[in-house]
Amino acid sequence: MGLNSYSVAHGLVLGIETSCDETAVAVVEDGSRALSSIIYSQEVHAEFGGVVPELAGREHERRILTVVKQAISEAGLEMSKPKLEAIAVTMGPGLAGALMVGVAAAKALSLAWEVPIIGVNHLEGHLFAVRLEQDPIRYPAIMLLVSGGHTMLVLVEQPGRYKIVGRSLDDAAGEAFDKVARFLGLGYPGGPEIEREAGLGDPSFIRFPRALRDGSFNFSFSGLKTAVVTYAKRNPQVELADIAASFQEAVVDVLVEKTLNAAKEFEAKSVALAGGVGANTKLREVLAKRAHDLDLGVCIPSRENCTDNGAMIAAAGAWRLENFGPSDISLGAYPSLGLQESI
Amino acid sequence: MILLGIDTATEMTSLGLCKYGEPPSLVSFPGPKNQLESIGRVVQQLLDDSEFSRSQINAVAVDVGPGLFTGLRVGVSFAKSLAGALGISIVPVSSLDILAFSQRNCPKTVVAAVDARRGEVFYAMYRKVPGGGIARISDIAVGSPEDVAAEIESMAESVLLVGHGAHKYKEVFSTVSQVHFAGSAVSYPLMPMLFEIAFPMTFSEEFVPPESVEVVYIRDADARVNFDVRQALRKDG
Ligand SMILES: [Zn+2]
Repeated sequence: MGLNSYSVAHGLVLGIETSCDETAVAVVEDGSRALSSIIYSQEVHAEFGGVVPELAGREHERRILTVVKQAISEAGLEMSKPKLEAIAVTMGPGLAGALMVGVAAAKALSLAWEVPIIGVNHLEGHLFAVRLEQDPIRYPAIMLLVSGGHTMLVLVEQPGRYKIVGRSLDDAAGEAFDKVARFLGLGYPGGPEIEREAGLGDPSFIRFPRALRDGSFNFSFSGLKTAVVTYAKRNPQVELADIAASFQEAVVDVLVEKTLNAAKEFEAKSVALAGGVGANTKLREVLAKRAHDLDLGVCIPSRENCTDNGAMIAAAGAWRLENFGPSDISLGAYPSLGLQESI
Repeated sequence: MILLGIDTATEMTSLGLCKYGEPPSLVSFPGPKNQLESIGRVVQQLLDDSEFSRSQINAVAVDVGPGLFTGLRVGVSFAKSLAGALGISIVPVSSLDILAFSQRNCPKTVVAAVDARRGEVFYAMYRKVPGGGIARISDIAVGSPEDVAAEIESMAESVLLVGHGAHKYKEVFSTVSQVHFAGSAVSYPLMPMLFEIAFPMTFSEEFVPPESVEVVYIRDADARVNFDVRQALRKDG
């Protein structure tokens, strides 16, 4: 199915995302052009080395209106009459108390501005982030969705038709980055810290194990994490940078290989990247190069569109609105919502 | 002057719409469980059933706590966003002030208490003001019912307890001889009381821009409490 059969609401959609530790709001036109995208990344979690749900809820509540106002004004609109077609909001999966802030705010805005509300699945939002980029994607596509909470390979036959063909059996890739970074005494979040350190080291210094080379499309990162910790303890003389580089190499290697294998198996026309770990430079470079060598279409969104943002929620919302209509005002928050589930 | 009232601080959710000098329209329902699902529909209904349009609302009066954290965030996020979009202000009111206000004619010291979960209550003390009204004479605090009971006992005066936090731990508080309990009809903050407090505040322009409204948590987030303890231990060790 090509781009032509892809229909979205053409008006302006406001997207609200508060599922984890980013308070993000954007205005998107035509389901694909972001007129504004404001992302407030909560820094309160850094000292804890992971997201603290209660603090995330408090920060979202504190910031939500300010971020909405910024998104409206940067899009050149007026708070009193923004002329939106709909308000899209992440309804799950995510942290319950965090999701509830976004949904409550979305309901109030929908009521005040008299525009419909659309509940969006956060995972589907990530898959729609590619729509915000210039290159139209060719379906079927294999999408690698990698973040602090998720690691999955999704076969997208067309928007709305998904099949999860592989997933992590233990830690999410982003979680492995966080845990290894913490062990190595690097900061939080672990992804950017490991990447920075890895840039100074030799990726072939140690060959860490690549798990689940069994032909399946599932992932496992806990063994790799243990191997890195054990190695670092036994070899205190080895440079931190070399360990970080070798670890990153192992993660990227497994992610790219399985993505390309899945693309081959399911005869995908393209591969795409989504989720916060998609901001990793090495992953972006290796995936782009190897997919290109195989003549596959490649869609790697900008770093801002890989990490959680409101524009991807608005993009998914514009598509949902056109194809399924708005949600009911009685919409709730659904912390463990699955990719194929709609409400 | 028309106010929209929002109270999601306790296990009783209350929403209301009120024109000054007229009886308010009110909807209350139990359980924080359906709060998020219901809040939009109920406010919509209140507006539809009234003769007012949303653009006629002058301010949003909201209970900012202390109380149940998640519920407070739903109510305050909703209130802020609604006020922000309508371009109006917010009148923030404390849950304990609303409870105490229901006993404003009581000659005794009034202690208002709401359930804080985990075996604790949020509470504050109040005294009748000459000429009408009631004023808070203590900080808002959190403590175990036993500690609060001991504090009341040391005051050596007759005290009236009001609120669900008092009723839930009635056995503990009853051990103090000079304690009396307000009726259970005022266990939860009542929307008409919120309006009675909020109207004069609106007239005297004691309202705030929506983005400046702060939820009154009193208690730190768990992680921070545990983390501080861990840090302290580490420093000692
Ligand atoms: Zn995400």
